[in-house]
Amino acid sequence: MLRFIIRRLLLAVLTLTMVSIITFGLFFAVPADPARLQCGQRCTAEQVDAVRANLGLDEPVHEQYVDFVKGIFVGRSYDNGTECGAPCLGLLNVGGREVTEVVADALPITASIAVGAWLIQMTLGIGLGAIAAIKRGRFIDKFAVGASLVGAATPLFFFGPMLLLIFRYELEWLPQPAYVSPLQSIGDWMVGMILPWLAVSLIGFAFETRMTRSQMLETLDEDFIRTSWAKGLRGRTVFGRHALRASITPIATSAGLSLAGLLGGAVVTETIFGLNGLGKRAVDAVRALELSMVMATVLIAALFIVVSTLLVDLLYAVIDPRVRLS
Amino acid sequence: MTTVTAPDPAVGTAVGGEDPYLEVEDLKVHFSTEDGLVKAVDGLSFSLRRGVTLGIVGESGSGKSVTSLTVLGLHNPGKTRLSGSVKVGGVDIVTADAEKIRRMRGKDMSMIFQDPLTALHPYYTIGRQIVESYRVHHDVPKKQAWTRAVEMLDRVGIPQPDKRAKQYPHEFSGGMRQRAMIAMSLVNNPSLIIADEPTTALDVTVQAQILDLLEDLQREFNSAIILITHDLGVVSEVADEVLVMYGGRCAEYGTAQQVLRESEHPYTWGLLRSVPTLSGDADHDLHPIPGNPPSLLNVPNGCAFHPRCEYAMNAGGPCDTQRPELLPVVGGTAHLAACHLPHDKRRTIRETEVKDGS
Repeated sequence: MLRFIIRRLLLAVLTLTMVSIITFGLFFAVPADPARLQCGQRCTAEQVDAVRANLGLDEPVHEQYVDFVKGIFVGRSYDNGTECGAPCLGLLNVGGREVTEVVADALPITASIAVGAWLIQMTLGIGLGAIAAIKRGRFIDKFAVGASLVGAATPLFFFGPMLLLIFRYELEWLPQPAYVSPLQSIGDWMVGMILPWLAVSLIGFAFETRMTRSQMLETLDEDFIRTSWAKGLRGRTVFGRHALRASITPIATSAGLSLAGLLGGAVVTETIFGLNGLGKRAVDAVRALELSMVMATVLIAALFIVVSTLLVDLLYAVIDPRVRLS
Repeated sequence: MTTVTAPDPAVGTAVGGEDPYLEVEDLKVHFSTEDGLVKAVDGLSFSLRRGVTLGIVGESGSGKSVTSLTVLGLHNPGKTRLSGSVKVGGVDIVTADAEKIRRMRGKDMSMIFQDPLTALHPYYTIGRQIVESYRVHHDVPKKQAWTRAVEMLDRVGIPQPDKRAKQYPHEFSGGMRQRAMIAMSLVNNPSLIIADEPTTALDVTVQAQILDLLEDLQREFNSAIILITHDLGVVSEVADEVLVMYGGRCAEYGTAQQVLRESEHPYTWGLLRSVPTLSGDADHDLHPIPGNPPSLLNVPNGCAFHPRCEYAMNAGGPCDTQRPELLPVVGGTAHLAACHLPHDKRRTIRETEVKDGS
């Protein structure tokens, strides 16, 4: 068990290293010059070189990479006297703000969207999927299959603005989505997040419903379900304690991965609703050729995936007594 | 149309000697499927007293498993058409309401399934699964039910039952798992036990132990047992009465002695001849029944067995046009067979060919 965790953690470090190297390499492979972008079209070659030196982009790529990684663990000090304490993810080219600070601002927004939407999609998805399987072929089943088909087929860039148009502008039931810290006011936080939650959870809900339904249908055909009927158990015990319990493994897998994916940033949602979360920051950073910011968002997204996979694997051993971690 | 006469319950190998606990009369179980109407069971009658073991024998698709699930009331009510009656302890399963049957299931009648690995829930301990069976029918605290579960595991011969109760099904060997399954089925002292091929998934050496255990428990609890199997060896070992099924109907019915030693139906002869013997030339010895069991969607006209029967009187004879009735055998008490062959001819065939073959 402990050996399993240690080995997986080492593997996680290796994965993150690979991801960061690839991102770094891709950034420099792109034929675009951050120094030229920042300096402007009218700059002379000398001016551009000066800007480049100022940003530290004149050093060899591998040295820049080492500096970046070192910064995460021990912090960095820059030529202009700026001290960036560990974990230092670098400075923004424009404005010189610490990337760590920007991330600290953006992460709660993304996390708010992610956790809320995830809770909604898991609850509705598992609930509706399970009921659909139990009532196979009945109205509720057809409704669930239809709803999840519509959900899966509706593009977010359409559904999101529609929500805004209807609930914000037409009915005026809700204010413009905005992030208010839940520590400040839970109510305001929820009101500000409802539309992003609905928009994001629609697709996830569709997926979880279909998956839960098909997994439940498979389980309901199992011999041990027939046994539980033969024992004289009540329907709700057979479905809840026996069938749903046995279907939980793939559901847990997708739950973990989808939470990790959502935490990595919801690019389209954040853009539609004007929320400055990680996803929007990442896209902005790519456009502005902000290497440090790109690295930060990619690494955070990768970290969530790696950690959640590890947690899901650990969860397997809890869920299924036949699983041995090794 | 057939009229199936229920055998006189007073005759036969009397072990119980009371009124039948299970009475099945003219049971028909039909499913509508996309391909048509499946007549899985088509007019079946038998009865069973406590303390008696009835072996139901037949190939796969003969309707034996459907019969057992129907007795437990485990048919799908939406897709199944039932007629006739199945009386368990006086309650008719065909007409009783679902909740009443649920309360009887596992308590008055219980089931032992074929493959205990798939029939037990993989995520719960053996003890917990037995506790669940007990507590759904008995309003007792968990602790008391656990004691009962350990007691049952001990009774079915599982060593260190208190420790084993905390283990999961995959931690048991095949034989031990089937013992646990039996413990779970018997935890409520059911009056009727249906064992569906209980030894098929087990090693031959373990099979006999499980059968012995079932016999012991039957004596102890005086329960009626239906043993569903295709294995005539198992039947001859434990059954008091035998019902041979073919194409959803009863082909032959009688005491084990009558059906196995004085069988009157060509299908039973076929089954007997397809049992391998250990002596003699194996190639010469084994006579499988030619052809396949009939599709229950489209059961042959006349006698369902006639396409595979080497003694069939076809083309003008009654076998391919007229369905044989299940009638008492001449000279046999409560021995029934559904065959057009005249009695003396059957006897001649049996004495010359079948005895030689087996």
